[in-house]
Amino acid sequence: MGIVGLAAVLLARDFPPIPGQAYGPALFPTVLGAGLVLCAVLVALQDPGPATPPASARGRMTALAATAAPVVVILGWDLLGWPLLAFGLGSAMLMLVGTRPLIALATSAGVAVLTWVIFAMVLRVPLPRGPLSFLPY
Amino acid sequence: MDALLRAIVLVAEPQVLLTILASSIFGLMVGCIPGLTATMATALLVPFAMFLDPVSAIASIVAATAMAIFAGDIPGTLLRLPGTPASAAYVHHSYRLAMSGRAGEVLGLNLVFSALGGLLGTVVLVAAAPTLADYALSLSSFEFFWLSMLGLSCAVFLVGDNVPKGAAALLLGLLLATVGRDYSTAFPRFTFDDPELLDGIPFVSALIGFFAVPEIIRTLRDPGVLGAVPVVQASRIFQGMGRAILRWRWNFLRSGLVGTFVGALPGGGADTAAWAAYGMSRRLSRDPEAWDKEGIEGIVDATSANNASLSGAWIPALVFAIPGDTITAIAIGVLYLKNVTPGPSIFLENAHVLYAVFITFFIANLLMIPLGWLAIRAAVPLLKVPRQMLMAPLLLFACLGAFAVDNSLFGIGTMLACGLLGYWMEENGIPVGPAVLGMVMGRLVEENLMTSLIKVQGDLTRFFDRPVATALAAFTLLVWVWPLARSLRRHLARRAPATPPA
Repeated sequence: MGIVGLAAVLLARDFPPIPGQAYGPALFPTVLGAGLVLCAVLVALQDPGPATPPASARGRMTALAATAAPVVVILGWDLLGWPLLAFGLGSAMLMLVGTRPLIALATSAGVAVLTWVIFAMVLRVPLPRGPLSFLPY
Repeated sequence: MDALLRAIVLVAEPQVLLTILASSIFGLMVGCIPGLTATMATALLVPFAMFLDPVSAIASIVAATAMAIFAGDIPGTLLRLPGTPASAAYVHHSYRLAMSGRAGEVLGLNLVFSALGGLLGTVVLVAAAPTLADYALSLSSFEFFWLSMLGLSCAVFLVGDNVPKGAAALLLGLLLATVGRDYSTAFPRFTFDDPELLDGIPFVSALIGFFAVPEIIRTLRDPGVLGAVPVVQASRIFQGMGRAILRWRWNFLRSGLVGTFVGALPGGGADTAAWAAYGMSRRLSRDPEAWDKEGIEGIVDATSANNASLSGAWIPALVFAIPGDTITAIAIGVLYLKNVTPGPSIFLENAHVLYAVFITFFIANLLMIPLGWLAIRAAVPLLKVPRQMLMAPLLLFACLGAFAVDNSLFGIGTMLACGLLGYWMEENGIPVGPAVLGMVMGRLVEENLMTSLIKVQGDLTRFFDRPVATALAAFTLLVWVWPLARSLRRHLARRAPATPPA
């Protein structure tokens, strides 16, 4: 956080001032950045407290999968389309947390259909169909 | 009067009523699931709210949060797991009584006093907000600047446990709010030549990230086990409720007002209100032993306070555009997106919208009784679904919500970035609430600061020229000094017994 504050102060130096005024767009970010640096120093001086107990290997893996899922959504958005992405990602994550395959597949299919109906058909959000070009909007 | 009639017509629209019903059910479900908070429910609602008219959008947030805060009591009583942090204060007390066969009575009290607390808070909101707004119209940028400073300071210094960490979160949020075109010169700040950032960081995607993603990651990482065996619930939950209302009317009034006040403090929120009312209940109890063992007084106090705080949080949000809690911070963001600017002028320009919001509060709290009764009956099967199974669908909903705001994948990227940042912050004891508060209020604070600075042309003493501004500045200073004085007193108290007698 201190680094973010310092970067804000340094970058704000290049912001142009308002002609005829003592203060410009740099003032607020500079004050905030300096404050952030000060807070970071104060936090660093504190006792860090007890460390969080490490998660199990399976827990770490599912947490990592949850973090990776939005990246997969972004990368596969146009190629796979929303319904296949929702079905695939949903099934994979559900099975990772120990759900039985049949229940995982059925739940993910339900989520894919439900989200398509709500977002694409009712709310008119332009979700990509991917290979399933026959799906109604 | 005309505005009130227009408001009634607005709320009577089938779309608004259906929205309230659907959001209430959603809120009850989210509240029932331990680990999912009312704030998360609001964050996940926002993408839907984007497609609704302003009244329906706010109605959905009001209804969902009121229901979620009550529903948090259900797993708290039946499983000793608070459904939302607002129930944490009295969860052991509720569960102990439930184990002795009084689950029905406790759930009935939770339901009735939650609804009554919400109604009391709404009465205070309706009475206080227009009066304050009338006064607020006479305030200048100096007062608004100091008021914002006071609000932000309360969120960090009075409510938080760790001042440097809370302040760091707040400053980070304020800094994130500066991303995009500067309002006075339109100069792009911290955009790194990315056109997607010219209008700032997408707020809805950011808050979905801050509130939903860390919770999902944590639940998947540490699935946990249920800490207690569900107790059998009684079905006659309303038995003896009339007598209970009469008996505990003063407790209810006191705690409802305490909850409303705590809710109105920026950064307060339902959980702080419940802890404050529960602690006060114990201190003021005539029979502390009975209070601990078989009394229901503490539950009545805390459950009234947490729902009352929800309405209280809307007072500064509507009058000064200063959110009382994270939920109203999100709601303010939604109002801005819907071109309704909160602040004193809303009472002149959009009075009908405002009255409609007030009516929504009453409807949501009254609707809580029948829907809450159904939720209590349906809760046991829902509580049997493993929590981590719900995380995959929630993550997919979060991705869709982040995309749907601007129909852009940038929203999903923002959600992930803010989610990871929020997760890192919470793992290191840095609260995300002040960061979101900062993101919402950043523009307001900077606008009032810059307007005031341009007015005074470098003479900073003029920030203290007007009496109200001076008083607000003095209060702000007091809030800053208070933790220092408190820690100094503690330090001196620790040293005193060590001093050898003369």
